[in-house]
Amino acid sequence: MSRKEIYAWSSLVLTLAILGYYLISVFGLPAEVENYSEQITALIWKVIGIAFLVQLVLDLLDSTKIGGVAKDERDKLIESKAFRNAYYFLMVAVITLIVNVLITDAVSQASGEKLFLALPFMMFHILVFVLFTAILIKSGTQIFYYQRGI
Amino acid sequence: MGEFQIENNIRVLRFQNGEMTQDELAQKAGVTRQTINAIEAAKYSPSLELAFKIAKVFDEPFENVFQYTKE
Repeated sequence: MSRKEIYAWSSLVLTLAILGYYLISVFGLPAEVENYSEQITALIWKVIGIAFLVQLVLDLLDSTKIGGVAKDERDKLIESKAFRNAYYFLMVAVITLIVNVLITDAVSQASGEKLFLALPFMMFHILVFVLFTAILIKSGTQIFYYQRGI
Repeated sequence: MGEFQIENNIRVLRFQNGEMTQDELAQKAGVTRQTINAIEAAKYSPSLELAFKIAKVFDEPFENVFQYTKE
């Protein structure tokens, strides 16, 4: 496994852990696992810590040039495809959100009621979720091409 | 018309050149070992520059290292 592939895996795990922590903080845990909230939070922090350390070590190795070439043409090609997919998703999501804002605003004005999705805090959560998903798509695409070949 | 694909003799050439490891070839060509592995397994088609670099490492004409053949 190349350094960039390990980096993609750790980035995926780190993003999932942070997203998990964010979702738990915002929406809380389901009633069935509420009693284990401390253990779950501790586990998420451990995962975040380990993934962060892995990325730090890889960054240090890259900066010191230990262990040969850190990134070559194949890594760059895979990274560009990953960025492309994440960008496509981000654009579609942002445009959908803008259209949604316009429609819900028009509906709200016509009916005189504030719709749930038009609430600013809800839009903020959706935007954060979209950004995390874009990062997940980037890491996922990288892992896919490293495993399948390009 | 059938599909064309890039084939290579890197594995054979490595063994003919003192059983050169993938890592050694990668260092000489300036890429990672995983990229050499992917090229050997035909999972990645290298750029023209990298293909020439690999041929130069073996001191072989380009066509002895890479072939563009019908499947």
